[in-house]
Amino acid sequence: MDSRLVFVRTAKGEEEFERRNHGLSQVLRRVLILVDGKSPVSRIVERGLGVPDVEGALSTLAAEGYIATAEEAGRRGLGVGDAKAELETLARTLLGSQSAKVVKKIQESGSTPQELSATIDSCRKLIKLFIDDKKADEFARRAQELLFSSTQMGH
Amino acid sequence: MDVEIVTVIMASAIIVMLYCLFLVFSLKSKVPGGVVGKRWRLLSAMVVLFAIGYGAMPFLGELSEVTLRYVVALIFFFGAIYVAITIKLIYTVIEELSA
Repeated sequence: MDSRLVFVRTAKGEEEFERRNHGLSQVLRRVLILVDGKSPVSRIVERGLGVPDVEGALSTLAAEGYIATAEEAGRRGLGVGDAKAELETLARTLLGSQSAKVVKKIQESGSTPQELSATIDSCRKLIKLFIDDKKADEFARRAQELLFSSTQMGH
Repeated sequence: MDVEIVTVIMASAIIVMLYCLFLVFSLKSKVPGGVVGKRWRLLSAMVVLFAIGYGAMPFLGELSEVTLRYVVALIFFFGAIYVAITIKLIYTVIEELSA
C-alpha cells in the first residue's frame, strides 16, 4: 500500500463511526477512527500503535466500503467529501445532545463553499445565542478549517 | 368603589404575573444555554421574585407607611433592573443577528 495515500470515511464509514451500526471489530473501528481525511497511511500507521496490521485493516475497511481514497471519493462525488457530513459530525461531537438544530441547519444548507461558509456563520450565531457562547467560536473555527481543507483537497 | 377598582387591578396584576411565570418556565427548556439562556435564567428568577411580591400584595395594607414606601421603592428598583436586562437581551440578539 502506498504510504502517501490519504483515506476519507465514506457515508457508511461515518455512520459506523457515529452509531456503530455495522458491528465493526475493535481493531477495525480503531483504525476507522484514525482515518480523518488528512493523514496519509504512514501517519495512520504511526498513530495506530498496538494495532497489529494497520495497512491490512485499512485494506479491509476500503474493501468493505467504510473508507475510500480521496481520489476515489472525488470520482464518486463524495467530495472529501462530503464537507456537510463532516460539519454534521463536528456539530454532534462538539454539542452532543444539543446539536439537533445546528445539524438541521447544516443538512438544509447548499453544498458550495460559499453556502457552507454562510451556514457556518449562521450556526455560530445560533450556538452563541441559544446553546453555549463559549463553544460558538470553537465551532466556527474548526468548521472553517474543515471547509478549507476540504476545498483544498477537492482541487 | 375605589377599593373595588384597586382589588380588580391587583387581581389582574397577579393573573398576568402568573401567566409570565408559566411562560418563562415553559420556554426555559428550549433555551438551554448561550447568551439568551443565561439572561433567561436571570429573568426567570426575577419573575419568581415578582410573583412572590405580587402574591403578597393583598397583605401590604397591613404594613406601616414607612415599610410600604420601602416596598414600593424596591418594586421600582427591581422593575428597572428587569427592563434593563430585557433591553440588553434584545440588544444582544439584534446585534448578533445583524452582524
